[in-house]
Amino acid sequence: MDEIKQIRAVIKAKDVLKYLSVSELKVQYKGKKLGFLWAILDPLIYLLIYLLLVKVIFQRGTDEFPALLFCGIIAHRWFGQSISSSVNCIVGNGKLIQTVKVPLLVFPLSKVWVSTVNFLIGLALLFPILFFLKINFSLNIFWLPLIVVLQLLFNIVYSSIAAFVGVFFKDLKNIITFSVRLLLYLSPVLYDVASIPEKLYKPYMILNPFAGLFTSYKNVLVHGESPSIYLLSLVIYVLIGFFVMFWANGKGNLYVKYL
Amino acid sequence: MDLIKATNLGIRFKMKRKKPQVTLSDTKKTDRRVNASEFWALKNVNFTVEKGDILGVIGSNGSGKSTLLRLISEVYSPDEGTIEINGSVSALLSLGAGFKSELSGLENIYLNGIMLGFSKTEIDKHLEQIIEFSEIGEFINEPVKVYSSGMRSRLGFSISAFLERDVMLIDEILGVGDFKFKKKSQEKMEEMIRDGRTVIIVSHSMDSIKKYSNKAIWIEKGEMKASGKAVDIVELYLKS
Repeated sequence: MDEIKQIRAVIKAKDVLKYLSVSELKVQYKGKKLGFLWAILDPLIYLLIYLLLVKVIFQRGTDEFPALLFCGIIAHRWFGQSISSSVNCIVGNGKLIQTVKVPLLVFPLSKVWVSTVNFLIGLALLFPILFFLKINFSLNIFWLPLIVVLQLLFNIVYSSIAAFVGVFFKDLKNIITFSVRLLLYLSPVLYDVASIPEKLYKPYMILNPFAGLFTSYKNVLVHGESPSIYLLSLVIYVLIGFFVMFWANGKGNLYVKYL
Repeated sequence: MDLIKATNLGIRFKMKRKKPQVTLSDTKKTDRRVNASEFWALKNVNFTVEKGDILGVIGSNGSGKSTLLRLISEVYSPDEGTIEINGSVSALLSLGAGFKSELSGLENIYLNGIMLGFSKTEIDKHLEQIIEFSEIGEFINEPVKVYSSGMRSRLGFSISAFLERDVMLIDEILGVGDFKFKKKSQEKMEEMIRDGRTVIIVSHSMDSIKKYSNKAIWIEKGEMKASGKAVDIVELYLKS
């Protein structure tokens, strides 16, 4: 099977992936006065900005709102960082790719790892926030690893596809920058899915893979409920994405030639 | 058994011929007729490399020499014919391709070495030699962005020269750094050759091809003009 061969090639290059990701992380925080502290400050500053917008300016939101908002922010940021840093990663490493034989998937994967580290730091920050807001945990929190893994797969698959398409279609970088922003407003980050008009509810939850995902994060972490059934829509997106990713990766030689 | 055997090797590229966009208003024109045409960068290339061979590749600019090296290092796969590789091939990261300029020289040695397919222990073993040979000195802990281009290429050369593979690929490398380092890198190459290592050199310097290689191939406009003993091929090339 071609897919298994492709996965094997990536596993064989796991050291490359490791070193690439670590250097990527180092580059991100090196030379900055606050260094690694930015990994903590970054999501918190976003939280403050949106809290100012919603709580102070619009005078909306419940007591739990900061925790719900933070769930959405870190999950959205995870995907946003993964895909926008991946879109240029094959082109950017063109010189290297044309000198040594490295499986191309290694490059988007390293970008996804880096943003995953940032996400996990954000997730760790969420717990003190939950504690501060006196939110009780329930056993439903055990759903969390499953939801995180699903989003990880989603990020890997679509970031890789973006990296491949980015080789031929240079406009993709601009398109992704705007789409990530649009996605923030189209997904339940600043608001709750309950505020979606009834007529639009079902198509919204099915078509937007993040609707079920973000709702599930909020359910298991803040509300103490089980994940949203619409998480299944994300599973379908992941499956479709896997086929596209392996198909695109199988044409690897084509990209290397035209870098 | 041959380390490398190329049979009827060929690779083609598609070229899109767009109308030249000279002025800004050209870029707005909707009439963008595109003629995709095929172009064989290499065709009908045959050669073998046995253990201990030093193969010289000669030809004028744009004749397909670097494309050939990329086929040998399996970066490209052929569109025609076959290339069999029985062993490991090391590419020379000329001018330090793949260096991350924010990271120190030391960190880049590891990153580059791993990229070339070596393990951390293998790199550890040669680390001192690499740093010493590159003459980077205490700058090894400084970010590569403060290095001069000479320092970068010296480091690049040293990494690939000390981490050994069955076949070494050298692309126009005989001119690394200043006069002193040039001499040193030539000595290092001579040492590799004496050690019986297998090397493929692409160079414009006929003297070094004559001096080092036992075999040579001559490529012109993607086609193989001649192959055989290095001295004879250089002779033929110079006469043309």
